[in-house]
Amino acid sequence: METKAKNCNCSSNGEMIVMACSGASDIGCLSDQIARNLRDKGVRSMKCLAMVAAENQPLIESLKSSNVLVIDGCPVDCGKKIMDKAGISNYGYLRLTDHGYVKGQTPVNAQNIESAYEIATTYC
Amino acid sequence: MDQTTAENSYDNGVNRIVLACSGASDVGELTDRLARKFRNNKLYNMKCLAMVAADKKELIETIKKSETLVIDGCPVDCGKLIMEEAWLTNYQYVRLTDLGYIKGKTPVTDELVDKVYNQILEGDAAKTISQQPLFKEECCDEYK
Repeated sequence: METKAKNCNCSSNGEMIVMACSGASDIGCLSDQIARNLRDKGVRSMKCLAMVAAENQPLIESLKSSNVLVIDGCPVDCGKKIMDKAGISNYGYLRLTDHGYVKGQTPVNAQNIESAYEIATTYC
Repeated sequence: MDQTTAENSYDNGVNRIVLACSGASDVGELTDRLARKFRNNKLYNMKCLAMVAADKKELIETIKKSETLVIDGCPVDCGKLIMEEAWLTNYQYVRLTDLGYIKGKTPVTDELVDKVYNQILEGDAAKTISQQPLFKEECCDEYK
């Protein structure tokens, strides 16, 4: 299973950041849970994707020099679109449906949170 | 936990939609939990605020025809700003800090989710920020 970020910025010394689409669906909820778990375990700081969408320039500028992981639940790719619109291009990207999580058929339970979390931690 | 895989629909003739900022802070997390609870209890359909931000026209048009509740955690007001960017003006709005919940000092517990949920349901939290008609299409060319 390919888990490496396509836009991995391994060389970045910036702050480790995670943002999630936090969408309404089960896998949207899963993206949210993973981001909070990464935050709670001290792996990455969580920032608000909505604040990027709201064009908060100080946040957008800080993200450009950070090691960012964006987690989208499904192929609507809202997180990716928000990053593109904000002009941020260098970030790791995890789309949960790429890893076998099916929208509408993925209970947000401890098992799925843990397995998806493990995938997220493989992103540098 | 207020989590579900259920596809949801609430149909009494009016579509009711809830959107949450789902921000990184405790009050942001609280908005997320509240929206999912409203959905799980079939009071609202939950939709993705990120999808509004991603300029998904189909969703934006649906929201225009729906009774929508937007929940922001803090006064950065990201949800509100995203709605404005999409030219959506007619919605109910709740900002959790207005209810006395302090960003960074509000541990998210099931009990708190229940408490705030009831506060919003009782109506003293929701306030209409605008009942103005939606902008006409010709006003919004740049957003098409």
